[in-house]
Amino acid sequence: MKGSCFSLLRLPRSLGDLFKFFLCALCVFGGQFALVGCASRQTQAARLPPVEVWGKEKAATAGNFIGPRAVTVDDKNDWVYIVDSSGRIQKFTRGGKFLKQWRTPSIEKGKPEGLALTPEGNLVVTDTHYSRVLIYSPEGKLLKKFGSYGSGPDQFVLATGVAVDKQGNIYVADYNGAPGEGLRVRIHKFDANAKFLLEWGGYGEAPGKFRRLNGIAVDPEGNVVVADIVNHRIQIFSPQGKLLRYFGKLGKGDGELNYPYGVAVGKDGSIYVVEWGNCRVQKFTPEGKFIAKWGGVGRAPGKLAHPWGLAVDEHGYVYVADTENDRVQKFKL
Amino acid sequence: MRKVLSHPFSWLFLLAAVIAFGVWQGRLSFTHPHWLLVFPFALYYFYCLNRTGRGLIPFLSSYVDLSPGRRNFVFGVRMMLLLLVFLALAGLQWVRINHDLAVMFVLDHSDSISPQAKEAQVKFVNEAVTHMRGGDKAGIIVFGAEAFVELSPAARIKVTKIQSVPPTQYTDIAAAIRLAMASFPEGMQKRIVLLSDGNENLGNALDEAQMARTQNVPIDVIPLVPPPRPEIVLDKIVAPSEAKIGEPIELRLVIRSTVDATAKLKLFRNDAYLGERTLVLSKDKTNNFTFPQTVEKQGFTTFEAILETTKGRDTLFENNRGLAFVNIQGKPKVLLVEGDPRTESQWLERALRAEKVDVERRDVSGIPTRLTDFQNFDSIVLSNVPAWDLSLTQMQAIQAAVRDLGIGLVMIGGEHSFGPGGYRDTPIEKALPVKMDVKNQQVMPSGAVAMVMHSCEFPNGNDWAKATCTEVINQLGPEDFAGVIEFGMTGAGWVFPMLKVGPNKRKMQRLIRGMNPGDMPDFGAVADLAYEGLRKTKARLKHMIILSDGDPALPTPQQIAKIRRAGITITTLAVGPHNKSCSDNMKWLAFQGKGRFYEITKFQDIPKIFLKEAATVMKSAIVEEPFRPRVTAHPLLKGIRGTPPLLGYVGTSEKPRAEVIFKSHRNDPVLAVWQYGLGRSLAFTSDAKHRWAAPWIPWSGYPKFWAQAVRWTMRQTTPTNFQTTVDITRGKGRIIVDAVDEKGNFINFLNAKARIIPPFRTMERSASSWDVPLEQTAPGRYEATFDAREVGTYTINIHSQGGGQKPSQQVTGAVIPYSPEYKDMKADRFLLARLADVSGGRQYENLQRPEDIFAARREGAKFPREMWLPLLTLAACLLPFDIAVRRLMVGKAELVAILLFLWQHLPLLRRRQRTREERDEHIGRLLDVKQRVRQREEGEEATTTTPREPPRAPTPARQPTPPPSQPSAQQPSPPPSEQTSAAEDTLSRLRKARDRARGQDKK
Repeated sequence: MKGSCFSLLRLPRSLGDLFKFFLCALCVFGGQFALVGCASRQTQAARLPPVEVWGKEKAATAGNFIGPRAVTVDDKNDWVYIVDSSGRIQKFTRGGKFLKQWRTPSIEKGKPEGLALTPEGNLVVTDTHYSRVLIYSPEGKLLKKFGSYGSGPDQFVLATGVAVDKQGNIYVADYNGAPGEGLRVRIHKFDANAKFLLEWGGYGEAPGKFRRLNGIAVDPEGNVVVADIVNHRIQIFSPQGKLLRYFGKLGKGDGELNYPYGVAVGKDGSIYVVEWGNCRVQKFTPEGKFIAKWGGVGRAPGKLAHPWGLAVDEHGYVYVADTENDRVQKFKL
Repeated sequence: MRKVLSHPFSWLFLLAAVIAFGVWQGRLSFTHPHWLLVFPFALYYFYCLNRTGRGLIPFLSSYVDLSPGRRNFVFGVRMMLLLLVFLALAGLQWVRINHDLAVMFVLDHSDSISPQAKEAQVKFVNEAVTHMRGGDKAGIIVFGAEAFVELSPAARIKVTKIQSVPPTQYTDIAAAIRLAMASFPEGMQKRIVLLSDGNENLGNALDEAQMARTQNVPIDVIPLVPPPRPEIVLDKIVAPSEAKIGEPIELRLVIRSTVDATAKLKLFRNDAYLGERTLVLSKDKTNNFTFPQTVEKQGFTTFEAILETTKGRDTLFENNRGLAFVNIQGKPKVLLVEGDPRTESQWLERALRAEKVDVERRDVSGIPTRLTDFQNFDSIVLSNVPAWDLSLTQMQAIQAAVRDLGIGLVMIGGEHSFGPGGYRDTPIEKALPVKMDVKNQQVMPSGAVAMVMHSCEFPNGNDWAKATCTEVINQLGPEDFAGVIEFGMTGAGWVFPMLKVGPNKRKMQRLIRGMNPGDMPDFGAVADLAYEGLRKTKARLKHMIILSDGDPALPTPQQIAKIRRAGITITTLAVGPHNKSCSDNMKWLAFQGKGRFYEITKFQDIPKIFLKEAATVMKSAIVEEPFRPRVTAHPLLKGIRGTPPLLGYVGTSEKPRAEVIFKSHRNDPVLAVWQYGLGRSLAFTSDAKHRWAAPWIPWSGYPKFWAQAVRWTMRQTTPTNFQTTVDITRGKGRIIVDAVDEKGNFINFLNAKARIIPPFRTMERSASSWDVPLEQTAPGRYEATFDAREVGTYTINIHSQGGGQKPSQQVTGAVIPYSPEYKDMKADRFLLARLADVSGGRQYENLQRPEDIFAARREGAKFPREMWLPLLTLAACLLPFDIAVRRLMVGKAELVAILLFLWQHLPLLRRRQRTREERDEHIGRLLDVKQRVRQREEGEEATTTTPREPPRAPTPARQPTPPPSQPSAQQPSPPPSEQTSAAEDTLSRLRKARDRARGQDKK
């Protein structure tokens, strides 16, 4: 195409010129996009746009959140419960319609950090800084509370996460930062009537020990999946507290964790982990093999900012408490 | 009729009639109408020229030989020219009238306006703007001590809540009017509507009203009358400024009240309760009460009076307070403050007392906070007092005491003084003869501090974190290292890594401002980071300060061991721990790190504690080696020969004007003095107790040395017996001094200055003060004025010399105990009425008629536009015509030629294109006409054979415009006989010429 470059510098006089011009432009810009796309794939998690984003502004009003920390889904009734740093528990439909909200009794010392559902459909809330567990009816009526501050078997220091198995047994993750006397980082198991059954754990880095606890879930077989945050790993125990397996180590790559705060288990047993440090969600097989990841640090929809918790419903939708973005995002992988 | 019309004078009359009508309608106006009187005379002159043809000036009669028609034409043009010039001289203006109205609502939001009145103002404005018309605009200004524009003038406004917050302790109506006038849009009628109670205490609104009048801006006033309410006001306390011990003095109280009431008066002296008395107050009368007092203790005495009354008799409590100062003269005294409460320094006290210096010893808690309370002392001695034990106000007071009151300052060292005491960048450092920077920094080992900020979830937590980090960086020496760690979006990271403070201070402060500490799940990560950073600095003292709520997981034992091995100490501050286990965590961490643990209950303590902790690394400025000071002679060492050795000192560097009397073996200053303002200050960087001055204590010269050092700093001036009164009204203070000597004679020709120290502002790191010269206005009387707008105590030091007296000073004070907004109890309707009168505005009775604001009195604003420039331009354009008509011979032929030219070259779209023959015929006809005229004019000279005009062959691109007649003729119907032949001849000749040119012969 003799003279073609020069013909581009002139205004396109004919269709041929115009065609050449657009071809060149396409090459230049398209190449840039491709480059950016390739590069970004390496540094951030895959893009997964959310199905829905709940929460328009940082406010303590219906439908909005201030630092949401935990989510749980009632599959039978299609309800989603979310607790946030304003001490409110909000109830939505799965489609995001706001239904109801209520506050925990006291919030001056701190706000609840964990949610779970009993087989009857009641909501179990760990009132973390008051070292107790509250149980509410689906309408928000306080049915029961138990627990107090201390080092006894049925006492908590900071009751962070909670999970309930099919029999109604309640597992409470209890965190205290120091290897002080008698106060240990541990998991308590209570029966459906809040009677203490057993506890296990301890502070440390060895398998079976924890350095910080928050996320806890029960898989379809009844095993307890625990997020051991500061050790950057997930540990899985039998219902009797015996360590079955663990996976994860500190890092940014696939399968590596950075302060995993929340865990949830899908109907098929796959484990979803939300990482505070890497601001993303990862999906693993029950054995701990990496399947997928998404998220990444940011404020745009699809990005996360220091998320604390997540929940999975029976259809495979993942609800992530995007804490520092003051919203909850719903994804479908 | 025609004759009338054609006469130039008739046109002139018509024009004059039009102008007169315009003026009458107000659409035209003249600025200098007297020029119009001259116009007829000038006109007559030209008229005469026209008629007689003979002018007074020869060249003006040049058109005498023109034809009458032409002469009249020239006369017409001349007359037009003249008219234009004279109209321009008379300053014709075309007046544009704009009927749109712009209203600025000026709302008084000072403290004397109640909240209900403020709401009523907003309601009034909203009502008034509903009556706005088409192009109207309205804006709002809110004012107190300053005026702010709440809403710029706009076509549609609605106010729900006033957003602007002007300072409200004063009412400055003048500033508000000024701002309103500057805010008006151009080209509209303007009006100001002022809603106020008229109690102005700043500025002069009447002056501004005069200005408004000159700019045609009337000020409508609407008085806001406070509902009548019972109010008791303590106007002032009058007391003498000086008295002797035991001399009876009288305090006079002036109280105003709107109701008859009884009130209880409580009197305090120096914050000590003296007693109370029940007073009977009558309304609307100035109540005066006197209280005799005798003061036995010397010093500056502050009297305070507080009025209390039964409920319902008084609305505002703020104006029930009054303060007065009396200075009781006595012997000179020294304030000694020991930083170390374990009283290791009774040596110093004993030594001073032995030398007959009157010493008052107090703890750090006993340091006065008010500047006037320092007046009792002639020198202040601080021994090993750290800066974090003093508040900023106390430091400002000490600085002002030295600089402005002439009191002396002696700063004695120790491990908590000077640099390690956190005095860098404080007001006291400014008063000292040494800087906290160590001179020989390279030799001194440096320190490194890493600060970890987490969980600043308490109110303003982020700001506290930033302020704390900034304070610490300000205190560290230039060779020290600092770094800040926070948990950000990507995990634990440095806000800025361990950097040397000296070259990076600005960068550090900038990065701190952008800091955003977030949640921290884990101390371990942070500990690792800090370990790496601190280790790399190779500083001698490495310290980590952690601010947290104790929630994060602790570091592993291995991490702790690593930190200990590196010699890093950890101090923790627990803020808002969730429970005991959290604070236990922090305690454990501090214990492991061999540092200190603090449980924070007051957030204000945080910066202080950080400072103290940071100072631990500044211990690197301390030199603990025995040395003998190198002595330079000085009057204060009189009688002292040689000193024993010292065991240590704090490294500092002397300021340029300071005198260094003792130098260490490393050439650092040990004893330095200088003059700071009116006072003297002394710095001794070693100590006066057994730590570093152990060899001195048994030395016989120890008491003499210290007594002489302290005496040297004491005030040199004698107190005076002047009668001084200070009065503050309307933002201005007035000082009147009556100088009379003991014999009762007036003291004249004094060189007296008043040093004014205004109330301290905590935002400033230094106390401000300024001098005002006192002018003598009468025998023995001196006066001065100064600006006084802030609420608080003004300390005034009148220092004088000359007039046959020794240099002397007198300290007095004046107080604005509360904003003058609280003084007035009624609305000042008189001032408001005057404002409306002066500016031509309207006085409204109350807020009942908002519709009148826009409805009433719309005259329309006049905007005259000068017309002289267009007029003169037009005249200038006419001038060539005048010349042309007289000079150019434009006869009929020329006119025809012009017309021909225009005919051919102007596209007249109505005309259709004719055939060539028609065109040619037409052209031929025109040419003939031309020829004929020419022949006629020039007689028989013209011949038909030599056409003088150039052939005009039409160009192919231009179609000549055919005349409208004969649309269908193919054959041109020739005009009668001899024209035709002549035309044909001309035409054929032309054609031949053209054909020849083209090389074709059609004929």
